[in-house]
Formats: sequence, structure tokens, C-alpha cells
Amino acid sequence: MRAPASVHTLVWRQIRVPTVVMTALVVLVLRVGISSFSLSGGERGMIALRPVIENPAVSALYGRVTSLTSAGAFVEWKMGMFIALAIAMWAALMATRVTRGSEDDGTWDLLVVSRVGRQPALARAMFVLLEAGLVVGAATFFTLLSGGQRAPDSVLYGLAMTGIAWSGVALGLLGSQFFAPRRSASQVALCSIGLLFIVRVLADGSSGNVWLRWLTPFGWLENVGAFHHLVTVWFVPLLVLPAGTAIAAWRFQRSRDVGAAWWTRADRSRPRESLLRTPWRFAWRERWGMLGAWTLGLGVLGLVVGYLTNALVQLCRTDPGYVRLLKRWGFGSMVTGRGFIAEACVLFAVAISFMVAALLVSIGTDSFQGRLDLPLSYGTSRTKWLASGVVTTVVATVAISMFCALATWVGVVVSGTTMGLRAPLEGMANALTMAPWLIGVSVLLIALTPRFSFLVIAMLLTVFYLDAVLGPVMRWPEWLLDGSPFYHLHLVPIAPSNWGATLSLSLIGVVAGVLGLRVFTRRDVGH
Amino acid sequence: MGTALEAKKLTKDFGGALAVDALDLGVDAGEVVGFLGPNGAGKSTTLRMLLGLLRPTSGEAVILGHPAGSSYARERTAYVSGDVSLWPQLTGRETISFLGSLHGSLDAAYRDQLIEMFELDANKRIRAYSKGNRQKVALVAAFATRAEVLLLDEPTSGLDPLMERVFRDCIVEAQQRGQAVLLSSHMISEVEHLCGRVAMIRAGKLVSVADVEELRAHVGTEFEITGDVGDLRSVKGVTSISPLPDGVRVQVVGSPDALLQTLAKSHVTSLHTREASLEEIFLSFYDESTSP
Repeated sequence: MRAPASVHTLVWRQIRVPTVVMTALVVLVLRVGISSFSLSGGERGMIALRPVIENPAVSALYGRVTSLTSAGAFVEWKMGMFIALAIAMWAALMATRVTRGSEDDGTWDLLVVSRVGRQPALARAMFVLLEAGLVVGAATFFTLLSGGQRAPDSVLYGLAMTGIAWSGVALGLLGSQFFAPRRSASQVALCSIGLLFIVRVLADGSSGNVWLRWLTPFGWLENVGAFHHLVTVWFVPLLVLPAGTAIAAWRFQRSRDVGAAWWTRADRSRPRESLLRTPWRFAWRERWGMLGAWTLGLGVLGLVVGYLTNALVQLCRTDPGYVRLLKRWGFGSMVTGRGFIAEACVLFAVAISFMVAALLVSIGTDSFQGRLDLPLSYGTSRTKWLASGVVTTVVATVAISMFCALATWVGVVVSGTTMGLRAPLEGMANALTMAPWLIGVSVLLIALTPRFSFLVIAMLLTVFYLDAVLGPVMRWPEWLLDGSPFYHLHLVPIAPSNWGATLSLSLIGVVAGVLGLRVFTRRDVGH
Repeated sequence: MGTALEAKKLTKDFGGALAVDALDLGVDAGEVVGFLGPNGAGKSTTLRMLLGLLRPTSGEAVILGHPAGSSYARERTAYVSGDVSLWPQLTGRETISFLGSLHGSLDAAYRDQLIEMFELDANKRIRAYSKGNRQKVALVAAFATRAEVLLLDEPTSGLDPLMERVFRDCIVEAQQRGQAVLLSSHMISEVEHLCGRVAMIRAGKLVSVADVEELRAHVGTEFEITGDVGDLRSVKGVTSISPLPDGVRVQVVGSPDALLQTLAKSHVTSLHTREASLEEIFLSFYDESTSP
């Protein structure tokens, strides 16, 4: 095999499993979307939905559209933005994995010193990442086509999703050039994607902000409007700018040392030992970068969501017909500010679940990367190490959730809506009722498979969320819906908490946690 | 002095792959025992079982009379591996402090002395260290705890010769303080220099535990003889003969008395003897194990 072809194969091997998972997820969500369009009465059924889609708060969440004339248009509106967000994040993570990740573990050195050379190796890796983006785009096209959508529209939408994937790749590549280790590069890339998504939310939340769409790939995707208004000129930034950014990253690599990054913190530091005296304190020290990023991210998200409340409330006050329609379409809870906050808190529960998983899996990462060897050899017990990680996660999750509730309330107040702080606090407290279940299951997975624990937890959360959101629309059987913890989250503060389900889920969490502790204390470390 | 660490019929089976097979080994307090074996022989697996990081399939690992991995054992053990994995965001000094805190005791004065001896810039972050410097961080932490049992798995991996000498001085000091050391190493000169006893492992089985002198006796002494010495093949103790330009090289196991008596009757112009190095001993064991 020729050397460049070998690099090609190697990079594909690194990303093939996540690519298959992402592609499957996109296909599943698109198919569910197409089916739910039919179940909702097709084009005729969508006419009644018109006032809903014109509401600024709904537009902010799903994007601005004027009509839903086909299943493709419905899917693009209802699911498109969230699929795009997931694709961009996946693409960024793949990019940091094959570039910065390979530099971190030293495997990049082997490619650089081989006859392949440094720049061609990066070019090959970039090529594979672009191919992976094409795979997801092609899956989008074929799913829509097989769902009876017009081929030209499906092709263009598939191409637009490829552009989103390439945007994620470009941000991941750029992050890898500027930041090390991979965790930092990934965090910066993911935060950038989150920021670009929020810019799109702000653009669609108010008619005066539409120009903000020009600043973000999610806005370009919306401006293309493959199933709506189709403006092909927006393919230029969507496809050309990521390619340009990737080329810039390729050039940036040339003028830095292998293994180094453009931006590095000082290599020397005054010792700060106050958080190093016990495993309990060290658990905070180990996670404080991640905690800062999540606090900032959820705070901004809370502010934006809170700020959108007023737009929805005003519309409901002036149009009783609209309120009836919202109720008919299952958005009935959103007719008041408190109802909108209750819906938002269910969405926050998803973000907080991912945060809990991210905070906990560092226990597994330390284990399979060999960093547990020394602490466990120097006197600390496995139980104490695990407990310190869990306690830190619990305390941080409660604190950050309450901060997010506070940020949401500030957003609500700034938008001009009168609401007490208690409403978002209760909503977020309700979102936390899933935490015991999630922590217990995470501990069990970390004990069973430390290397793949985050992947498995993330997949479980995604599947359960889709089950809870799409299941009722698709009229899935009750037992299937009952399987999702998200399905049991009531809309607090407009409804009481589901204490029965909370108790059952907590019991499952406790059993899984105890089992996980038992496995963790008995398993071979580093295997 | 009493036994500090003991492996009793220690066995580890990784799902059909027998890594360590009924291994018996003991190290007394104040003793330094070398642990030799080819790659994949089971050295690291044995050490990790003695640390409680791996669970034995059968058998028992005991540290100072307590099960390996128990809190009593952990608080009296320090470990250095050849592939140290540390937190990249911490500095060297922070890492040493953290490990000392976990252990419960850290001789601060000795830590500072070790940092100086190993010429370690302790205020740099781990991610900025070379492999050798990361190794120094682990070594300083291990020695500064003054742990009663030191389990060292290729501890000088990445160190330059000057630092290897510092390491040897630290081991000698540890031995004088009564600490027990099990030293797994590929650097046979290091083991030869530091260890009173050597354990050799091959394919998971312990093939020999003996003093270096006893091992030498196993391999024997080499004689280089010039002159007309005749046929020595039938002489008692002679295990091999190879020709030299003006004589022969003879390997003798056990007493050389019979050889010397035979040579006394011959015309010998020069006679040189050389004891086998530990490397030759190791290779002889390895050759025995690989020969059909």
C-alpha cells in the first residue's frame, strides 16, 4: 500500500465508529421526522401550524420558515437545526481526535518522520474528515429521497449538511492548531459551535436581528432553505469558508513545532497546593476548567432562553386563537411565561445530563490512561477516589443548575416579563431529579468500560431523549416511552414533580451505583 | 529482618492468557531484589498484583503482613513505573505534594534534597517535561515518602547516566534505612550493582531466585587458556570448549579443581579467568528457556 493511502486508511479507522453512529442517528431522526409529517396530516395539517412557526420564540428554537409544504420542509424546520448542531459537534470532535489527539499520544510523530511527511499527513487527515462529512451529507440525501422527497431539494439539503460537517471539521482543525491538549482544543471548538448556534437563535428570535444569520454556518444553512426558499448563493460561505479555514489550519501547522500549540499557558507556575491535600479536594482541581466552561455555557443559554420568554407571552396575550392552536399542537404549556420556562428546563435537563456524564467520566479516563496507578499505590482507596468524583459532580451539578436558573430568570426579567425567581429554580430542581439515575448508571458504565463510558452514556442519553420527544408523536407503545427517564420529567413549575418516577429512577440509580462501586473496587486497574 | 513483601503462588490469567503462574517470591526489609525477565514475561503484572492494581486469579500478595491493596499496605508502599502517567496541568512540585498527601507522609527536607539531586525544575507543568523529567517526578515522590516498601518497575527508563547514578545512591540509602525494594529492570548492570538477590521470570514462571554469586555458579567460570592443553572435553565440570587462535576457551561449572589438575600436566603459557556477568547469566537462563 502506498504511504498516503496508508494514512488514509489509518485516519478512517480512527473515526469510522463515531461516523457510523452519527450517520445512523441522522437517518433515524430524519425518518422519524418524515413519518411524523404524515401522521400529522401532511401538508394540510401543517397549515394550522402556521401561527406557531411564526412565533419568535419558536423561530428562535427551530429557525424561521413561512410554510411547511412537504415532509422535507417540516424536517428541515423541526429537526434540521438540532441535527446540524449534533453534526457540527461530532465533526469538530473527530477533527481534534485525528490531529491534536494524535499529536498528544505521539502517533503523529511517526507519520511526520515517515516518508509521508507532516503537511501531506495533515492534508490526508483533512481529506478523510471531509469524506466523513460527505458520508453524513449523502445519508441525509438518501434518507430524504427514500422518504419521497424531491431529488434536487434532497441533494441540496444533503450538501448543506455536508457544509455544516465541514464547518465543524474546520473549527476542530483550527482549535487543534491553537490549543493543546486535545481536551482544550475540543472544548474551544465545541464552545465556538455553541456560540455560533446561539447567534443563530438570537438572529431568529427577533426580526431586527436577522442579519446575525450571516455570521454563522447555522444561519447560512437556514438561508440556503433547500426545502423552502432555496438561495443557492449561501452555499458559497457554507462550503468555501470551511475549506478556507481548513487550509489556514494546514498552513498554521507548518509554522509551529510538532506537539506544540500556538497558544499555550506558561509552562511554569507557582505551586497552589490547597486543592491537592485530599482526593476530595483534588477532584475539584481536576475538573475546574470543565466546570468553568459548563457554568459559562449554561449561563449564556439560560440568559438567551429567558430573554425569549417575553416574545412568546406577548403573542399569547394578543391572540387567543393562537393559544388554542398551541394547545392543539401539544405546545399548550408554552402559552405562559412559566410554561415556557418549564419546557426550557426539560431542555436544560439534557444539557445538564451531558455535563454530569462529562464530569464523571474523568474517573474512567484516569483509569485507562494509567493516571490512577500512582494515587491508588500511594494510599488512597478506590472507593474514596470514586466517591470524591461523584460528590464533586453532585455538588457542582446542583450549583451550576441553580446558576443556570438564575441566568434564565435574569433573561426573563430583562426581556420585560414579570416572573419570580422561584419558577426557574423549581424547574431546574425538577430537571435535577434525573441526576441520581444518571449518576448511578454512569458509575456502573465507568466501572464496566472506562474507555468507552462517555460514548455509551452519550448514546443512551440521545436515544432516551429522542424516545421521549419523538415517541409520543410517532405513537410508540407506552412501555417504550416509559423506558426514557426524560419522558417522566413533568413540566415544573406549571405541574407538580413526578415523585413516583423520581423515586423509581433514583432506586435504579442507587442499585446501578452500588453495583458500579462493587465492580470498580474489584476490577483490574488499567485494563 | 522480617519479610516485607511476599507473593504466594501468585497467578494471573487474563482470560486464557496466563501472565503469571504460581509465583513465589519474598523480599525482606532492608533488601533490594532484582526482578529480571524478557519482555512479556510477567514482571509488570506481578508488581501490579503486589500493588493491588490487578486482582490475582489465585494466590496471595502480602505487604508487611497485610493483603496487597489494603489500606495498611497502600500507606506503606510507593511505586514508580517506567511509563509514568501524570496530570499534565499540575507542576512537578504539585504532583509530588499530591502523591505525598495521598500517602500520608512526606519528608519535606528529603524531597527538597531529592529535587536538587535529580536537578528537577519542579515548578514546570508536567506537560512541559520530557519523559526523563516525568520519571524524576515519580522517583522524587516515591523516595520522599520514605515508604517501607518500594516497588519499582523500570524506574530509570529515560534517565541519563548521571541521574542513574543518583538513583543508585537513593536505593542504597533506602536499603540502609531498612526499606524493602523490588526492582524490575532491563538494565542488568543496574541490578548487578544494587541487588543482593535476583529473581528471574520467564513466561510467567519464576525460574530462579538466588544471590548473584549463586547464579554465577550456575553459569560457571570462563577460562581462556593458551598453550598445548590437549583434549579437555572429558574433564569434570567442563561444559563447553571453543577454540582460540593459540588455545581454547573453556566454561566450567562448579569447582575448577579437576581442570587445574589436568592443566598442571600440560604446557600452559597463559591462563585468564573471568566470572560471568549478570547479563550472561540472564542470557543463559533465557537461552535455556528458548532452546527446544
